[in-house]
Amino acid sequence: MSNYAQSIQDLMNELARLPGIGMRSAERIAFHLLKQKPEEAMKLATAIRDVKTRIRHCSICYNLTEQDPCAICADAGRDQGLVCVVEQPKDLLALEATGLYRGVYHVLLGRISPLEGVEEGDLTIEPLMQRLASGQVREVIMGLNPNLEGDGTALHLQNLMSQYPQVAVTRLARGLPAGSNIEYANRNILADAISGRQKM
Amino acid sequence: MALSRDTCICLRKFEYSETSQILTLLGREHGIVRVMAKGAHRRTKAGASKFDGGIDLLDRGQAVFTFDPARDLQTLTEWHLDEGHLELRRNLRAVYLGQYAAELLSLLLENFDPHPALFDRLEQMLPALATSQREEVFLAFELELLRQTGHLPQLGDCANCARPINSSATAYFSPSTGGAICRDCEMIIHDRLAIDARLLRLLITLLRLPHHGSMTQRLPRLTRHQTDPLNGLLAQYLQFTLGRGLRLMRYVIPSPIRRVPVAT
Ligand SMILES: [Zn+2]
Repeated sequence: MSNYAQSIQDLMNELARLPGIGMRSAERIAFHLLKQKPEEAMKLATAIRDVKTRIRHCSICYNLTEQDPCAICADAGRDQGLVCVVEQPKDLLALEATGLYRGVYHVLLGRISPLEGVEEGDLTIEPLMQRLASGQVREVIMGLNPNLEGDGTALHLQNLMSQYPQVAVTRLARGLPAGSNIEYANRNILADAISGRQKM
Repeated sequence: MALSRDTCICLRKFEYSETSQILTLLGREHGIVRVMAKGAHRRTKAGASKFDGGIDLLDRGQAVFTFDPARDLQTLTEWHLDEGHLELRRNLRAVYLGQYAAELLSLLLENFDPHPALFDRLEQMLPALATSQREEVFLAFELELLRQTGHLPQLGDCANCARPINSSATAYFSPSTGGAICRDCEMIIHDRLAIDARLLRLLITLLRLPHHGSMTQRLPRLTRHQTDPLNGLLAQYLQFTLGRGLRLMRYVIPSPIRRVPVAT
């Protein structure tokens, strides 16, 4: 057992619960914080408190936001009839970083993963259907991860959306990542690239 | 540490961190092996990756891993994807049946206990899930899995009195008694499920089919009307014998058979 004072031990225990941080890293971070000036170290505490008190999910798209609705949903310049469905806020950020997309989003907050116990009810599928029922959505782009569970979730959503025939359902293109080499692409990527080939 | 090589199919996948996965693999020659794949999502700019771009559920590939049966978790060092089942992913029923097979395999097989014949059947079954034969192919695989792992319920004779079950319109099945129940015994069994006797005989027929060569050609065509009650029966039996719920059950069998109330 360690002989650290209880407060140091508590801090190390909390740090060690973070992803990718073991007990040794936790010890190093704890001592780094101890060495810092109080006002410096307290910035971390304040940042954690702020993020937990100010950040919430947008009531329309479930993106993380400080204001509700989020800046994307509130942007009158964006096409509210075009909704890209993604699994997580970080997927939304990756698509936003391209600067190419002018529609809005819907964040599912996960994917249907029966083996891991994640079911439809754990996701924001019901609010998505309510958005479609409002009649303002023209097209839904499936932006889920192209793996078995992501594809399964997309198929499940497609079934549900069939009750709204006016909504076109599309999915992000698949195939070779730009800037990569064909020789390093696996069979799945190449098969997708061949079946999704485009006219030049 | 000695490295082993095997053809494997991925049954479970857990994203352990941004870059690492913990996988349950079914090796043809090694049985169930749990591995850590460190750097599974990492790629060079040109797209090269240690594990051929990451490993997904039901992917079949050539794996190289440390093999020490004293350890619960082995380390995956190489993976080359052979088959990613893109066709299967276009049908929701196929996606769920494939995951159900993975769940049953990971529950019924012990670690490091190889079943090459069962592996070969799984390898045949997965692509067939993308076809119109998916129902019969899955049911035949499920029965073979139960047979090879010693979990097959008693079907031809009464599980209570061992007398042959004579064909009547309705048959009964009891998860706790371990199989089909004859008319004489059914009244005293508390958890009996009523099922069309023809369906029960269908299971016996499937079990008697020779199981070498191509399975799919000899299988009778089945519909969900037939397979839903049978998959449900076997699922309820397995839930009883394993003492735990099956996570895929509600996706594969939307309305399981209800127990017949005991007359008072
Ligand atoms: Zn929003």
